[in-house]
Amino acid sequence: MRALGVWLLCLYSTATLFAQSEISGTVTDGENSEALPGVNILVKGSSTGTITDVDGNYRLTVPSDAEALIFSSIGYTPEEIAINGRTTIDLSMMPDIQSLQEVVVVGYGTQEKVNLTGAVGVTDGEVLENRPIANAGEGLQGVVPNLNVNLRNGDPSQPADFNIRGFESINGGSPLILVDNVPMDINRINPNDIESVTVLKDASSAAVYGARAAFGVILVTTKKGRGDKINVNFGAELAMATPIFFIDPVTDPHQHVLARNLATIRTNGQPQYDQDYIDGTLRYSQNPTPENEWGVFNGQLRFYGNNNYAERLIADFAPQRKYDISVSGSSEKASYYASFGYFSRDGYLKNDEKNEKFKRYNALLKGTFNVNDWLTLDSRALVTTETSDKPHFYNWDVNINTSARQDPLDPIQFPDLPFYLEPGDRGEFEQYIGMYFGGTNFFPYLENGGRDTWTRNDIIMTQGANLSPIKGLNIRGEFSANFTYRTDQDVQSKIDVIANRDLAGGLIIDNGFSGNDWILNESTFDQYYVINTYADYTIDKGKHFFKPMIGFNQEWGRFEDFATRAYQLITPAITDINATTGNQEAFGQKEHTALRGVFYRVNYIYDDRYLFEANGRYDGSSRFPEDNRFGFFPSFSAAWRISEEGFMNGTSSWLDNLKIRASYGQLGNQLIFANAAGTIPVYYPYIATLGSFNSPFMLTGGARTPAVSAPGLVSPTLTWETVITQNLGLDFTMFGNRLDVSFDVYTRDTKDMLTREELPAILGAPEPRQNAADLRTEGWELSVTWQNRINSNWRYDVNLALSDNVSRITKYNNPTGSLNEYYEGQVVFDEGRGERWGFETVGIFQTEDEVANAPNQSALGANWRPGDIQYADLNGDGVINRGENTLDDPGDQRIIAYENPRYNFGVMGNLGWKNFTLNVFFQGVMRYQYWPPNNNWVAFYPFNAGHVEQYYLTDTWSETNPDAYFPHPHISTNTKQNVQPQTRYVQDGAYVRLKNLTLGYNLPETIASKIGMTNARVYVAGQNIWEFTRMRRPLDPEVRPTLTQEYYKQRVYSVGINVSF
Amino acid sequence: MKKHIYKVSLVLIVSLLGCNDEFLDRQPLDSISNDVFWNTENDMRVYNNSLYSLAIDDNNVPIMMGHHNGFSSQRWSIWHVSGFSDNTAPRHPRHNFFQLVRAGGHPVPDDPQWFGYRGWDFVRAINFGLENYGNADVSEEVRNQYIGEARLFRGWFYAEKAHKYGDVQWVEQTVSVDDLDILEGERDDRNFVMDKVLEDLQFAAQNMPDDWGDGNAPGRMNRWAALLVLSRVALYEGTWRKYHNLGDSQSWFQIAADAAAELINNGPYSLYTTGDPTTDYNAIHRMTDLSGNPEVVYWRRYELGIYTNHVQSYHKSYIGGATKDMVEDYLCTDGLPISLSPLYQGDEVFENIFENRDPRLRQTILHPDDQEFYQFGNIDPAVADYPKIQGQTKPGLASTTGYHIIKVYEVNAAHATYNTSSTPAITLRFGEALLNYAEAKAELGTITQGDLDMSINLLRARVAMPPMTMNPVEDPRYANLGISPLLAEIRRERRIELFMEGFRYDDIRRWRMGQLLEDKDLGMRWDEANSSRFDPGGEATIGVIEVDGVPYLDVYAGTDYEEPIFDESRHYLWPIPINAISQNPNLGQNPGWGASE
Repeated sequence: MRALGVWLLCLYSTATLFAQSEISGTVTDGENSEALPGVNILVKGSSTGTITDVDGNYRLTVPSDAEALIFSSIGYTPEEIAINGRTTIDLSMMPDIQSLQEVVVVGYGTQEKVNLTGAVGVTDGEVLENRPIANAGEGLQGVVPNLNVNLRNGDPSQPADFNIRGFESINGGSPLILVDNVPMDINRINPNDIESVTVLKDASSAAVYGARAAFGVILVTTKKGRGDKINVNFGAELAMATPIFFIDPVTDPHQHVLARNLATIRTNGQPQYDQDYIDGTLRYSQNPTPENEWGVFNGQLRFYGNNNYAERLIADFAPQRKYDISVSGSSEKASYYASFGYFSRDGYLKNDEKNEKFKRYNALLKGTFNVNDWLTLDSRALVTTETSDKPHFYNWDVNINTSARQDPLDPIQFPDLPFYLEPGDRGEFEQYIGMYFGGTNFFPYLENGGRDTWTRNDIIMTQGANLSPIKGLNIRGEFSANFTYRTDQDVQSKIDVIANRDLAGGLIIDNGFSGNDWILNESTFDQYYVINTYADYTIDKGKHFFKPMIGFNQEWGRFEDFATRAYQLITPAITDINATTGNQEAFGQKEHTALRGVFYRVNYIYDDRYLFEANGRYDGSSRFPEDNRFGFFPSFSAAWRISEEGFMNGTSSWLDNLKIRASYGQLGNQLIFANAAGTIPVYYPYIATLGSFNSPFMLTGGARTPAVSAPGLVSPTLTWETVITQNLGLDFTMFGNRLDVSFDVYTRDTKDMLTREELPAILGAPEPRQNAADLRTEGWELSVTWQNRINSNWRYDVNLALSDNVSRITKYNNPTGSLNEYYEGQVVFDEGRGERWGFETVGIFQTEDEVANAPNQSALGANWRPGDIQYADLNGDGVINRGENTLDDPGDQRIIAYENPRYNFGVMGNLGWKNFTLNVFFQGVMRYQYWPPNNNWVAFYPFNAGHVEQYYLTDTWSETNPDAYFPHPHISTNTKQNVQPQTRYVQDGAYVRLKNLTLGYNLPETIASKIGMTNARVYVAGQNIWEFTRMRRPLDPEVRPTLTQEYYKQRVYSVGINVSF
Repeated sequence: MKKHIYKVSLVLIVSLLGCNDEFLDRQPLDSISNDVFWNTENDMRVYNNSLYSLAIDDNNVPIMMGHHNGFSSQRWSIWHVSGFSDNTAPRHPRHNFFQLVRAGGHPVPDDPQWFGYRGWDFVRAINFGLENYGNADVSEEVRNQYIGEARLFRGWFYAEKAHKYGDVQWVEQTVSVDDLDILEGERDDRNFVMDKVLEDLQFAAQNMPDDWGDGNAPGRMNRWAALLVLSRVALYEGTWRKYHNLGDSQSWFQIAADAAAELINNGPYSLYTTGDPTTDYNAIHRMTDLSGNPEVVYWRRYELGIYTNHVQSYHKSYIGGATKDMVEDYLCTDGLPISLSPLYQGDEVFENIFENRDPRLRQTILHPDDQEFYQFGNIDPAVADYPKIQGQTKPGLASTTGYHIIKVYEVNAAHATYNTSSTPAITLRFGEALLNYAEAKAELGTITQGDLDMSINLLRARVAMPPMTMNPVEDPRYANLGISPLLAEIRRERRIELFMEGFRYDDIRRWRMGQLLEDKDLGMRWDEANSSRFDPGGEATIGVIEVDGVPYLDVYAGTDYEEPIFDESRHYLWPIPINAISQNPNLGQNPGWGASE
């Protein structure tokens, strides 16, 4: 608004009549009121001017017709001040909010933001600072529109999954992530080392990465040394994480027993708990004394109390620590940046010693040496070490996730009772006191069941050279080597547990799930090498700006894995393969891959108004047969900066930039995965080989049987998936850079998708990958930033990132329209189909008559009764079924939910007042339909697991609760007839979550400097601390449940300090 | 200087681009390609090993069945399949599928059911071998041994499919994505398929070696195994054709009889016996190491650290118990059925059902006095009180019927730590050959007393039962089946001898005796005397039904399976999964299973 005011003032000012006059004044910094030296002052419309001295003072003689003075200084917003006959003009200049001249990192180079023609999203490392995040992925969620970050759960050793602009390909696929030009897992680097993140979204901006950039590129640039003095920065952060636990279990054992019995009698005619349990738990409920907790019935030891398993197992808070120190500086000849980071996060287990532990150590060393005026050398070493130490994973029954579904009547430990069967027999059973019971009791496995520990070292070394032999020409070459070495030891160690509760018949001690004990040692060694060379030449003459670039990229990698497993430990105390006595097995794996490409980019800008860019790459990949190995991927883009046109002159004081952009381009995808999640790469998709292995089918005793198996099916003509994007963008910046808006619409066609077309099973092998399907994604994204400084005390900014996309199959060979396969027009999302087919729910049968008169549901199950679900007979044939399960004959199914999240948004606000800063970040999805899967153990449908939640009691049908949400209690692990995919249970998964709230305080510089610091900051922060959703608990809208309830998402609260000196 | 830089860059780029083929040609480093394989006999042998390896999955390849490992032991085992029949009465919710099929309530599935329309990877693996054995540099005789082994698997697999689905697609090549005539093809007529099966099995029975010299522990399938499979399959086919009125059954009976006779007369196998008729029958089913056992033609081996199972543990609580119908089928020691024999003491007193009965009954069903011998339930004999019915809280293992099964009970494995047991599976045993022979001869109408003496009477002699004669007394319970008393007795013998070995459901279907599955599965007599004696607390949760005024346990009372049905028009064959048809409508559905029927 200030700029607008200045403009208005300027408009109405009148010229003075003095022939000449002298104006003087002082220029100060608007933030700290210190004098500003070196400010350029120019009389408007002339070349007359001066600069301020060391104390910010100036004196200038101006002609009588001078209207205004223009003040400018790098890093400050230029101001035009009308003279209005004054002889003294003092000015406090505001530091630049955001410069249009900001330089952003693009593929193999940099570009001024204002000159971008493609769809590029940028964020700087600040969004990652001072937040209790475990990795960079967590911090990037919701920051850049259409950079979709999916965090599967709260496990810090599980990487975030990135996606740009929607579903990539049914063959998987993910953005290319480059850290300083080298592909690597972004989660392994220290978030605090990140200077900027650039997201290349369309073909035009990503084209120089050709065959690897089909689904966008994320360029991460690490910090480097700058400034002329040594700068030391130290940060420390302590955080506590607490699981977001949406469960509300029934803690009254009597209620539990009655509820379970109701469900099991309904399901198979038998109660789960007999009369004694009913009586015993009632006794305990009414009078919860230790005496009532245990009993012996018919010789069986019984527990009538309530084991709040989760409470005993799960800690309220898990600690998380983060320390960083960096040293940087530069001189005329060299600059350097060195940082060291430490991060640790513990799991939730109450048992501190046996808790899960994850640690990461980072070191980044960078140096740049100016050898002479045309040669610069730079070196970089990035070292990451991660360690993880967890309890051995037995199976989903015996792990952390059982905490939510353990039967509270299952005893955990053998009790210490005065006597057991009869008075005086305590001596006989004393030996068992404190021993753990077996079953799905996690405690004994946690304490003695073995550990899974791994260490991963990741070392990347880069040597680069920059040559600038003549003005405008820049040549860069760099070589990087990445070594990853991972060792893993997984031990399944024998434990002793009490297998039964039969005091009279005799207690049996066994090893639970651990009887087959073993040690597995695995080593992985990956080598990856990258060569990049490129050269650009800038011609900037008059109205013509011309910058061609050519380059070459080559990468090759070799991945080796060796593992050996030995059975039967001599003693659990010594976990080494040598200390075993059983059978042994060994496995190995070796793979290699290579890529090579040449690429170019040409930029041409005419008069800062018309911008053209052409990109392209010719790429070869070892993953394809020789004849189909190479592909050429060109792209074109153009932009028009309307604001620079003459006819826009009148707007220049309030409109800083207005630009429209358009791009079209092709990219290739060479990455092929064995699984939909895209974690198991396939290196030789066109080569059929025989498998060789040692079969557990024993033809003789004591040894596995060597076997060679038939090769799979391959398509010999595999080639690139081609991705074509078209993008239209609009950027504008207004009000002195205060408002910055960027809007893009795009389509992305993924053609010739490498897919396994689903064929009839008679084929007898997994279908070969063929270039056989097409997909189209349509979407848009909007980014809005408003920033302002109200005065020297108050400043704020708000960023909105909003995006949407929908992907549909446009070609797929499914002649029968089978709903079991992809079909044309189908919405696809993530790892599968976004369209959920199911039945329409009429309601819950209330009477026998209703059951008798309803269409026949026997195809879905037997014995329908009041309290069961009634499905709608959509095709009116009198029976409820799936028909042929095809598009033409779906029976009574229809699409009940589109399970693709729509309208992802992130809203970030920063508010500053004097030395305080407040950062608020909301993230969410506006529309999301979700049908919770009915797999056994997935928490949602009542009695789908061993525990009972409060809503099982209140929200299930009974004659007195006819309007309940869920049908009559039944064990839905046994019969799925009531939990078929259906409209009734489709959830509204829209949500908004407060992802981050940080309150910081910067020590006043005067105080900081007294204690020898240039800057000191303390902050408190919270992550995921609030959410709103209509989704029913226990579902978390951000976690799509899988078979097991995994590591819960967490709320993290932290305090930290950050000092520089 | 600058010129040098240009030159160097140019040379660098050109040289890197110049060696494309080598640099980008990355062949697999850890696996072999087909052209360099197939040279020696060993190559054929290790290839065929992969067929055994595929067959380890009993759900996918339900032939040469054993026990699946780990959690899957609860579902896929040769023992559990008796749950499809009237022999046992499982009520465990995890055995829902067995109960559904048993009661005629199984719907058309979306995807292949257990033991269902699947396993085509096995066929492909066999066909791939058959297309390549010719490349090995070995004698024709040696080559044919391995071809025979592969064709044994293919024939056996297809026989099982044809018997479950009727028409199936016969494929004898590795199918590629271009083979639309197959991928979109119709199912082949079952008679055509069975002729192909016969060719495969006969080739195997002619060309496989009598002995691979591999020590039989368990070793590879040999010619004798092929003969036993051939006799089993041919007998199935003969009876199926005869009783389902498809004609041309005689030749199949002849093949079945001949194959069995060859094995009986010339094979190295014999019944296992120590001369003790009270233990010899079930002894081999409770052994862990069957190496060298004279009765076992093929078995599946398990070992800690390689492949183990948990089947004993699951079986003891999942199988439910034997049915009243099963228990009443055992003859009395005079060779007469219980309805006719003066020796039968009735079922009023539980122990009396074992009195004067075929000794195999007491080696199959737990007599309360035998608890100590078998350590059934691994409890203190002093507190053991069997039978125990579900719902009861007294110590020990519960059953649904009161007829606890001890034929395959082995205490160590039954109470062993999860998935550490080496319980073997007997896949093929000599005893079956004797039964196949007698039945085939009887169906041919050429059976003689000599045939009975060389077959069934050997089984009877082992347990000290009187020999079967050519003219047995007709058991009233089998009087209305339209078969001769001799055939009825042969079938009874088969049911008794092969209990829990995976035959009954198949036998019922090939004999077209689906009506047997319309009878409820009942348990022991549960009159006032028995219930107050065994369940004074009245805790049992199994329902009761009166049969001729006498109450018996009614296993499925109050469940979805209370009224079993068997629809003659469709239940002999299983339905093709919906998704298989939606991908290839030409497969068509089996009669009676249509979407709108």
